[in-house]
Amino acid sequence: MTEWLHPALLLALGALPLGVLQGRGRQAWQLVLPLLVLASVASLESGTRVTMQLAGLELTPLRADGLSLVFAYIFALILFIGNIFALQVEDNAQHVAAALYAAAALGATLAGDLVTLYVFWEIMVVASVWLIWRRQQRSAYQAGYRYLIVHALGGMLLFAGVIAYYLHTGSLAFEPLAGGGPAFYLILAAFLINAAAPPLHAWLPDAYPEATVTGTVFLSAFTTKTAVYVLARGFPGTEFLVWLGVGMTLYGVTYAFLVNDIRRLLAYHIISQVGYMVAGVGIGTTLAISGTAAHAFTHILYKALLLMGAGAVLHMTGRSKLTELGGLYRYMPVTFLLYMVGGLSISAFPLFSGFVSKTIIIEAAAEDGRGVIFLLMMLAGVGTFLSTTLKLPWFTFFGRDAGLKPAEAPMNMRVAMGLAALMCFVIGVMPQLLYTILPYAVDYNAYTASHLIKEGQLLLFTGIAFFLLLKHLGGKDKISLDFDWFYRDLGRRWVGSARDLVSTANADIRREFMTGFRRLEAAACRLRVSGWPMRSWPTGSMALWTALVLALLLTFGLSR
Amino acid sequence: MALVDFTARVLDTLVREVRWLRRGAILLAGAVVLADILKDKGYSRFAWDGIPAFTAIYAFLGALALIGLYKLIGYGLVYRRPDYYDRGQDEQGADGHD
Repeated sequence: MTEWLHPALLLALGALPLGVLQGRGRQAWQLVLPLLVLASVASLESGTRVTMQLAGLELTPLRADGLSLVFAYIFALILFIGNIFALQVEDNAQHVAAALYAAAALGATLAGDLVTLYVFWEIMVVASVWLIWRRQQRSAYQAGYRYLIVHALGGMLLFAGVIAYYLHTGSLAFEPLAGGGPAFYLILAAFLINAAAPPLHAWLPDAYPEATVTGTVFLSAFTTKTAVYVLARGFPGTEFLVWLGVGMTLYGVTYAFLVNDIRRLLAYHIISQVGYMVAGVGIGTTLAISGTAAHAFTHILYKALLLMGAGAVLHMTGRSKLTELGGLYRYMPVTFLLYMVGGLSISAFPLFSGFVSKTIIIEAAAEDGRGVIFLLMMLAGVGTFLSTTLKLPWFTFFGRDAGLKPAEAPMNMRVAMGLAALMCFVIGVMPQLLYTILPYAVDYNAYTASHLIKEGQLLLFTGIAFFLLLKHLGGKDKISLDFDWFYRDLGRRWVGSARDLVSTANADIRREFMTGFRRLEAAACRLRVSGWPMRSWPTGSMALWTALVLALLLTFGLSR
Repeated sequence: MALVDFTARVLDTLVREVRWLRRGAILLAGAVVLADILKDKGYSRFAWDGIPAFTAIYAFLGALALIGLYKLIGYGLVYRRPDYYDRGQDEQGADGHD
């Protein structure tokens, strides 16, 4: 491969045949294409830059370095795994959308300037919304439109920020942004919308659970992690992000526990896990940035695995609510075991991937002397284990038997889950494989006795608390209002009230005007019938009016 | 299918012997607490690093506190009927809370 063959371009062009290929040919290309892209990414050497002039602007469509390559590797890898999971789907539009979405995420990650970043940023939105709409349900269409509107707002903020940045600095290079100024805040707000940072997050748990079974896997991987990358690139060491990130970790686990839909539960956990990464960016030390990149890598794998497990349950049973599931371990035992690998990974269980990545960020907080942050991150870890690894699998695969007798998930789904699970385990036992591709050298060993004892206590005693209160922890057949209530309910009511107000005012004005007009018409009729306007005018009266008109003409004529 | 059946049988056996799993988990929990008390941590970055079994206590109480908080937020603030957003505009509002 040569450096001019941009991996995003290769993938975008490779997506086009997916629109027409059918059957085995389409399946084969779904497997070959991500491998070609992975090879293309692997061929990029750190330090590679490709620049070009366009309309007087110097653009850098390709910049490969330690930070961007970590994300590029995992994006190509998850496309491969996600495509295996989606092999049985006979919907070309979904496959094209997934590939274009991945291409845009790769393009944004490898962009060295803000214009290129903006273009790929917008393509990501347009491509990804089809993964929601192709569910072909009313709720999916509506959620997709809300998703589109929120991201259109984010895109506008980014566009305004890029213009402000160019006007202020005269440069479009995407480097760490200096604090303060409109450009800083506009671009930060746009990035935080994609990172699903509260209160700008509600699009994620609203839309992701409404997407297709296979589409959610791709959605979980690209948008938020691209946001993590651009935050790490543009805003390292921004103190505000530390607290925002920790807030995200706790916000996500709180809502995850409250919701009834298993895919929505996992969607909230994306917010929680991205919170660790945002906090890592805010801490900004080399250990924290490497921890952020490592956690993004492992998170994409285990979150895809968890969503594939939940998606397999939905695919085979047609249900996704905890209150409607239970007792599935006899019928979907492989799905259960593979899901648990994802659950143990996200909970930072020793031997699984989260243990060697999440703990880097927590260690970075400790090294930086941030005791409160350290404790809050541990508390979020408790919440994660409670809902993702205990509550969801217990009430889906064990608990009350819902009487469902589904078949095990199709072979391709199990292979995709198995591959993701294998990678979670391999990274967990051989973390150096991951550490060697991180942006900065990592002098960190997760497998010390102290770490193991601490993590063991955290998980075991959380488990004891869960089983002590088990009978109170089942799903509730309710929805949980979130910030989307402001535009789904309050906003809609405000718009409805405003519409009624305008409508009423319009009717009143029309009625009053017509009443006045009819009175005028009646008066004119009466006048005409009386014959008064047609009477003979006296000569004196005529002379008076003529003099008046001449005086007016003279006055205005002279004043000119 | 053989793999699926085998896995199902293994899980069924584990479910039948769950009391042994429970005992094993409790023993393991006791062992890690004991190890935490006996072993030198090797660092003292925060005040709580010197408290024996601090993480165990923190996790247990934290889990109870979180579950209480979830119940409070759920029933006190955010739970609504599943059709809350689907109902007519005029019906939405305070009466959707239950």
